[in-house]
Amino acid sequence: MARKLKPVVQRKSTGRQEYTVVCRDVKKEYALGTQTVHALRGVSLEIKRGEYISIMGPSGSGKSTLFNMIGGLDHPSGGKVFIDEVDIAQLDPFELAWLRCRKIGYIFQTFNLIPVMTALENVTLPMIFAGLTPDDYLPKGAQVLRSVGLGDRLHHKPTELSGGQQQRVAIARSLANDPAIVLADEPTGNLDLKTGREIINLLRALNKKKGVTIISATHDLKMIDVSDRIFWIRDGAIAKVEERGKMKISVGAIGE
Amino acid sequence: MAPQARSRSARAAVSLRHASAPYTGPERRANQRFRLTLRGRGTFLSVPTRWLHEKEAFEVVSEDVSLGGMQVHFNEPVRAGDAVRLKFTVPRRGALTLDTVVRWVRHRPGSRLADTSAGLAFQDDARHKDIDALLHASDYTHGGASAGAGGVSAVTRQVNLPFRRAVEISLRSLRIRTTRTLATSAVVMFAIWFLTLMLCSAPVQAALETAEIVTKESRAQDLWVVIVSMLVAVVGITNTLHMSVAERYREIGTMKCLGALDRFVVELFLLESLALGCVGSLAGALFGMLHAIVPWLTRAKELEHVALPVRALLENFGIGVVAGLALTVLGSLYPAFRAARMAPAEAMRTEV
Repeated sequence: MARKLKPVVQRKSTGRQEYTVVCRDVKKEYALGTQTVHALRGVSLEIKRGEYISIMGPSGSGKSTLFNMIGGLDHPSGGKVFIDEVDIAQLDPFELAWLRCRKIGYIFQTFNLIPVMTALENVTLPMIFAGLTPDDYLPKGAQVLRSVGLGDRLHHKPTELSGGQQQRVAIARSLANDPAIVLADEPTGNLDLKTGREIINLLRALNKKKGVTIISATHDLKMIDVSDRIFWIRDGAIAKVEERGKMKISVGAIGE
Repeated sequence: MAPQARSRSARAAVSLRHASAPYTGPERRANQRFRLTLRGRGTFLSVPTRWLHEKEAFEVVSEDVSLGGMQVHFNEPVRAGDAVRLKFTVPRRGALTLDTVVRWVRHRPGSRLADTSAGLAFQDDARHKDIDALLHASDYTHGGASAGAGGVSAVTRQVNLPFRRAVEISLRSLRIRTTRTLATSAVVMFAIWFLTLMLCSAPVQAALETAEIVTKESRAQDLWVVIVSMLVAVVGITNTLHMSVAERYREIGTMKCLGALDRFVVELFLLESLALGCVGSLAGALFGMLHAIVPWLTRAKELEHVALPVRALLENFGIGVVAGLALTVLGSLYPAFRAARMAPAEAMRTEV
């Protein structure tokens, strides 16, 4: 009565949850001597799958802190963060590592590439942690680097790459394990205008083509045009939420 | 159920899949965790799974241990009586296969994942060592977390760092940072040279004294010199190693963002410091021992009838090597461990 079962891989994306990231009243306080700095004061937000979200605000408004909370890089002092309806504060280290490895990709302002490794090695490091063998990860890493336009610089170290190229390597690294969410902290912060625009277009293409949810904390106004929704944050609280469709942007100014 | 012949077993490379009900209630809900529950011959094993790769082939759902088996959703229809081989890839152990037989099949029209769910049961000859391997495969175990049955939970999921890759990464790191590596191992070498020299001088001195070539000096001074050399080694090595790790805090934070567990980071730094420590300690102890023999060699003619205290020298050589290794490892492990345990955001913003 035995039958052969073929190995089956299900590739349908299951749009089952409406909100992929939910923050409920997230607070973060730092103690500086006798005073406490309130970096976040009760931030609540919901982000749908496949959206391109920008968290915008001036320096010191708490957007990097919020980024750290959403990405599970730091613990909030109060409130909860849910990723796909699971409270990340209750994850054990193994599951948290899995989350960071497979589900979320990170892009930082300072690129944070490992300087002794080449571009290809940097991109394949998360794949190594995900358990792939060299036969799998070498071609996949090369392909990801090609998709960001660095096919000819696979074996260059970060010191041999320009800022824009390093950020592209960082983007490729964040996509290494096909994450569902990409978190970017000031991706264009250290880049000039032209390169910044290229990076933003790259992120937008990713969002459209692969349906990756992109959440970027930035003060670069060029991001406004490509985002689906913008959270304006000021002094640790969300001041305003705007949808791109409802904004009117004219060259040289942002009008209402 | 009669055991099926292996050659007729169906093969399915299956793994685990996540599904969750919409969150509506308090944080800890029983069915927020989906368990792969295997039971056979009195062993209870529960594998809590929360998130799994989106591309996996079937879902394992079972809170019901009374079936004596496992409830599995397949993406293709199966029939009762089918023999199924399940393959789990367990970190550090490779592929684990369990041969099971489908006992019952139920159609679930409302299921989002698959059309059928099947209850499986172990064949009579399910291997205990496989169950043990699954039990021990995790990086940690929950103490009695499984629903009341007093079993052990194991987590089999793909976050691991194979030893070969770890060695590769560590050695590459050492090779590329050549200057830093040389400087650090030079510190280790000189410190251990000094230590071994002081340790080995004592027996050589004693031998020279018995030959009445040099006058007897104070023993207490010897001891103090050894203690001071030990302190120099401790302070010098741990300080250097601590610094060389601390300047890489940002790298550690980045690796944690890429999904490294704490122990991967510690493992990488341990391998690096072992390599450094081996080279530095061996070289230093060797030079120290040879240096200590120099007074002997300069008087070779007069000492033909006195034996060189080889055994004591080798013992001290060993002590020097061990001390060097221990200090190197301790000096680098403590900051690495501290950095790995920090939240990544903290590690990345730490300024050294």
